[in-house]
Amino acid sequence: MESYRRNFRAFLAFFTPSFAWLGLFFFVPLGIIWLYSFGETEGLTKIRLTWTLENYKRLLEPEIISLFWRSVWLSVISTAICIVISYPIAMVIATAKAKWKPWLLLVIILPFWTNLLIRTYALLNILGTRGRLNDLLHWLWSAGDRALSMIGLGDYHLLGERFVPVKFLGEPAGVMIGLVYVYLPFAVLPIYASLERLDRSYLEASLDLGASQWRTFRQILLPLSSGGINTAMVITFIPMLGSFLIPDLLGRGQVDMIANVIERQFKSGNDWPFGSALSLFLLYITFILLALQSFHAMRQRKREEARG
Amino acid sequence: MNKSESPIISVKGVTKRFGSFTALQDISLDIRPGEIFALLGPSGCGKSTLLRIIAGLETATEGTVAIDGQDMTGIPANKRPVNMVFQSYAVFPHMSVADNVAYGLKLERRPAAEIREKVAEALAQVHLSDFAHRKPDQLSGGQRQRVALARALVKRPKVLLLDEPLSALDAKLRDAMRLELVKLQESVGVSFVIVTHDQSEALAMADRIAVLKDGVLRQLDSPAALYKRPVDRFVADFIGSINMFAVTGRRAEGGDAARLETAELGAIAVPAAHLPAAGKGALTLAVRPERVKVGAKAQKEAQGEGGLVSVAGRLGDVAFQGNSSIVEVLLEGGGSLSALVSEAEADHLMQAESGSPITAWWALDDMLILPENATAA
Amino acid sequence: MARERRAPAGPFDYSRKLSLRLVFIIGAIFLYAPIVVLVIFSFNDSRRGGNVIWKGFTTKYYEKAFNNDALVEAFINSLAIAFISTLIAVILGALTAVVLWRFRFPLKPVFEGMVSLPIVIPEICMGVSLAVFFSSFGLYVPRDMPFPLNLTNIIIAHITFSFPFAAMVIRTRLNSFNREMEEAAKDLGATEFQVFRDILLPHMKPGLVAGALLAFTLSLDDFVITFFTSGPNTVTFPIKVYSMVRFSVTPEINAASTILILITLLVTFLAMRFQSFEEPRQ
Repeated sequence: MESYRRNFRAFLAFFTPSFAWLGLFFFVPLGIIWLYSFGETEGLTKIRLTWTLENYKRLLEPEIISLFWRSVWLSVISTAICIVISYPIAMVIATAKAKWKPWLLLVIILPFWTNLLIRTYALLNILGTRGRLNDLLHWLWSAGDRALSMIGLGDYHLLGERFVPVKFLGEPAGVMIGLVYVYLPFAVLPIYASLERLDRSYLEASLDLGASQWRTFRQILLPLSSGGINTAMVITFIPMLGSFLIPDLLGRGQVDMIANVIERQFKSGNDWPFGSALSLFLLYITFILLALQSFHAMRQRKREEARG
Repeated sequence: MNKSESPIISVKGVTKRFGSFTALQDISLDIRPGEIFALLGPSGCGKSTLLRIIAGLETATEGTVAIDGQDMTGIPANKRPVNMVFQSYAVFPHMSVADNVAYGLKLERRPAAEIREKVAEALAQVHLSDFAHRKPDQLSGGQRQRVALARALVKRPKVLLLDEPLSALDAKLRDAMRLELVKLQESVGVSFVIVTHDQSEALAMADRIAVLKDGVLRQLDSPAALYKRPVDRFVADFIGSINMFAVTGRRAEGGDAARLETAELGAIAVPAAHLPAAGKGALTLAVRPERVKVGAKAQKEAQGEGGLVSVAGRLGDVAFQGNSSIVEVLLEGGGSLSALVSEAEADHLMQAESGSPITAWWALDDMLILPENATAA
Repeated sequence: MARERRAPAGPFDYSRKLSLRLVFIIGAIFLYAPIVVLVIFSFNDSRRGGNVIWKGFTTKYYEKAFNNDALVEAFINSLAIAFISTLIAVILGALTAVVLWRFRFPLKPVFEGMVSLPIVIPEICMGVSLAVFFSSFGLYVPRDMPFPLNLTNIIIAHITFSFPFAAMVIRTRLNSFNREMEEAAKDLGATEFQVFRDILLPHMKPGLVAGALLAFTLSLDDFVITFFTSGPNTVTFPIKVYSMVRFSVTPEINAASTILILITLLVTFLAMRFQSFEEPRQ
């Protein structure tokens, strides 16, 4: 690497365009909503910068707090489900034969390349009370009912008198299914990467020293892949927390998350200052999470470097 | 057979196939209590696979492994009374040195006080008492290896398995560690099985060596026997350095002699008793450099009984090696051979001009007649 | 047994454990089933949407989608935006990647952080801030601008979020560049510019293509940021589909979605072909 001074013109030629672009179309816009978050609406379209803290105070209204709370727990649970499902998936890919690995990875990544809107819409079709998922549940119910009848318990209707379709749309469950569905590939990749890097002889050493498979998993594999799990948690949690389309389409206005309320401030509610304050709040949460994650990753990297 | 003679590990007819590739072919060998046993061979010969089969980390396609008389078939690695030092050491990076050593004991649910005591004892044995609370990333490669040793030995295994234990260390440390491993083995008394590709390492440390090539056991013997009486061309070439001459023709002579022809040495008459009994493929004549004498004229030494082989050539390079030198003799029939000569002899030879005529000779008894492969049917 | 006996699974061959395989298979079904159902029902001969009952095979909804002028226009808009924004994003991304790879300069980590911000911040924040920026500075392009200039706002937005991705991909590729090649070229008499053109650029090519394909799919895929920066006359395909979904669910949407899925598959396929084509040469 060379010093920028040695060839200053070349440096400027490479540096200026992207710096200017980012400044103008990324940081200036963020700066504006930062200013707006201290402003007040005047009339229909005018906003006056009064340095009021009113917009931030409104974040403490019970409605908004419960909105945050809902967004956070929906994202936390969905992240947890994602990790639990993606860990075994990543294990399978990481230990598959070399010629299979790229294909197994492709199976998981391909949906991620498919349009988010289309995937959400596809889910919308499935999750309806008369959709395929309820068909499947109905079939399972009938099979279970028949099985119970066969062993002579049919008269008790243990599974209910008849099948009642489960309502997913407009319910937290539907939104969570959507979040897991969309962000699952995000979680698999970092876990896969950390398992792939892991030296298998750690596991063999544990087994050799007398540990069972389960013990080895808990005491060696899990701690040694914690970096991948952390990354997976952060990169699924952040977009989940800020997701708009999934709660919009699958929540049907009943299960709003932060982004839905932000959108309303700008599109129909016309309260830009409050919308700006909400956006910045979301941004700050993101920054805190990223800082924690990079701090953790840095410590991990230092340790690995020292290990040589 | 008395108790101490019965093998601690008995490998019988072990074959391992990966798909269509045969990594090990019908290996049978016994490891005696209290010995250092080396599995030696070039990379890819299957020696590590055999070690891993003994440890239970791989399953043999055919054959059995018994440890202390007990058949290990179907018994997983975590239930076997052997422990392993891995090539990469595999010291758990998220545990301290003491926790690493204690790991195996904790799994046995030993009382805490006993664990503490045994860990301290094991760390003292490998001179790491002061490092108990360090994390592995604060240790050098050699120290990490000691942790791996302590961690395995603290379990009091019946056999300690070491996979290329010295390959990750630098040259100087490697020599010191050889000695230390031998001393450690003497003090703990359990058998060590060492996998290595380095013949000098095996010769220096092991009581017995099994030489493997392409999954086949070529020879199992003591280091001295391997060096002096290699069974075939591969073993002779792999262990120490040796001059070799391919036999191009073979004719039975009258009586108990055979005439072997080589491009370099011409025809040589040898007693039929010297010819290898088993094996297949072309024969090779071989002689160790330290058995080769050089001078202006062949001289029969008093103790040589079975005649001499002498060959004329010209003096080539002389490579200084400290207390001895390697002399290259360019043979008239083509090719060359090397002779190991003393310092004084070398000084004398240096006075002659390069290319001046010279004779090399050795006792017929010192010459080996080797088949290509002694184990092939 | 005639069949070749398979080697028994080792203790850590997780990929051969039935229970783990089952999780993988169920995960894959979970990921693909909704899309497969969507594609199947795009051929459903039913006027009602919602994909409830199968009424027979038809391709008429594809015909309908192709004859829906608004949908076709949205589709063309999306493609135009993707092409133009990809072109500029790759150039900006390549410049950024070279700066970060080649130079040491003060506050470099800060610049690195700045470049990666658009990747990590929530889309809604970026969408909102760009919308506010365009409107408060009066930068919304007038409605009567000719195509594709009328799409300028969306294109700017797309470049902003996609060029950091392209920069990341290109930089990874640059890391594998052997610096001695550059020195060798200079030693043989190449100027700074000739080194860039003859040595560095050819090495970067696979990274440029990979970055371009990524930027292209990101642009085609984007809904949230476009949602905030598009006007009533500049509708993209996802925006159009969104408004159709909100209005009513019809098989026509399934047909249109299937077409977009096919395009995505094609781009992914190209990306993979290109990579496997390039890799053996490295």
